[in-house]
Amino acid sequence: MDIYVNGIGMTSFGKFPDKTLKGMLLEAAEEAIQDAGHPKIDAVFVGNFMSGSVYNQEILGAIMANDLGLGTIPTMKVEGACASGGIALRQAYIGVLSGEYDTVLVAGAEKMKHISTREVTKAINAAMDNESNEKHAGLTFPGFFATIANRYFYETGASKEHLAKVALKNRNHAIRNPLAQFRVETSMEEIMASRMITDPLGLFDCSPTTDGASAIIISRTPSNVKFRASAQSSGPTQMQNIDDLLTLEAVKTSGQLAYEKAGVGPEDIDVIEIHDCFSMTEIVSSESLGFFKRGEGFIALEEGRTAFTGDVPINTSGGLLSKGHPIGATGVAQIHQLVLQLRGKAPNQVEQPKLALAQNLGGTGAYSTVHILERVN
Amino acid sequence: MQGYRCKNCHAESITKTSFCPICQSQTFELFTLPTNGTVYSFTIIRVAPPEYVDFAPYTVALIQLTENLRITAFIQEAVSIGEKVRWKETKNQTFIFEKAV
Repeated sequence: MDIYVNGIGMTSFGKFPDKTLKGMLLEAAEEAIQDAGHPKIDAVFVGNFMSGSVYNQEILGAIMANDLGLGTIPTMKVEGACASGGIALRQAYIGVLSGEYDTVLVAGAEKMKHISTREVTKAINAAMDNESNEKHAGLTFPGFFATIANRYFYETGASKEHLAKVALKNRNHAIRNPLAQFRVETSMEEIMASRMITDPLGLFDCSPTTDGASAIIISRTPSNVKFRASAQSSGPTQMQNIDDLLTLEAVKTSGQLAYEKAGVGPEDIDVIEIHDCFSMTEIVSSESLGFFKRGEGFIALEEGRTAFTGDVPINTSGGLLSKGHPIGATGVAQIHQLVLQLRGKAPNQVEQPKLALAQNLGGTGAYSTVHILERVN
Repeated sequence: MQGYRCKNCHAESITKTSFCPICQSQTFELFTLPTNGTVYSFTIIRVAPPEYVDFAPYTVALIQLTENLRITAFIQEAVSIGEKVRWKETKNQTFIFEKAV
């Protein structure tokens, strides 16, 4: 059975004190529904991570069905840390694949800018296993990816400068994305001199907190964007249980499953959205997904291959680093960007892409989804 | 510090699981971990969680204890990859290591 993307919608990403969580969800969903030609919707899946803990609002699925005026259709909220959106999409995909639903609305949203840094950090830390000796050792979320970075530098000879190149590339992409959070020019000097969060990661190496929402409509009704694959895998919740620190196991496995289902390899993919929660994560994930050999992702970056003008364009949206990371929305927003690319309507347009891949990560590599899309016609 | 060993296939782990991830057996035995190890990787936490603010900057290290096992520990000082470290004490489920001189 072929499943298609029929409509997309997305709010601007950034800080919007006057926008509510419900408001952003409805804004993105209305746009997607109009874009799809107003089909009858059979179910709603919502990706969101912290609306309960920081906004005192649950029942997001029911709110969408009610406030969009969709009737008595079934809905649910999906949580998988930063992969909440990608997993919501996967569940919607499985719902259509099973024959139970014909058309499904997938939405993702997060409201994060209305609380203090301390409060939002505490909420984000729920994405780690807090009942572990590892958490008690004082490990933080960025600390995990920083530990990977130090080992990466040790084994490959890469340096902080390469991390900065990821941040600069994604900023340059975001400057031309009207929906992106950070659209101000920066430089290698500014990035390298920025405040150190956890050695070797500085401020620009870390994705921001963001308000925003995105939505898509998927169905069996043909359009010119089709799914070639949907896959999901789990990975370790604790750093000390990782086999190879330079491989994100869940990313690798979900990628392999997706390639197998699609009958393609990484060399066939024309445009990619990778979950760059930290600059190091983009490099390691690009390797775990098979675009480059283990330990060589930084070389491709240095050669400019991963800019939108290169042969392996990664994060033409600006990535989480500069487009923003409203946690539950991210996985859905990746699809939004790839659909624009396949339609030929993206701000950083890659030349005639045929196959696109989105990879969405949750926690410290505990969840990963991979979706492969194809332009049909 | 103790690790878990599956009585059926002898797979070892730092953390407990209900079923052995390799063979799904449910019987485990505890064994004592060595107290000396080598720094496999680390980070220096500067922006710390509220409970650790007074310790910052501090190191969180991933320490190679045996051929197959690594453990995450707190070290107050700065360390480098390959450096020899040893267990100092365990406090509130925190493994605290120090440089081995």
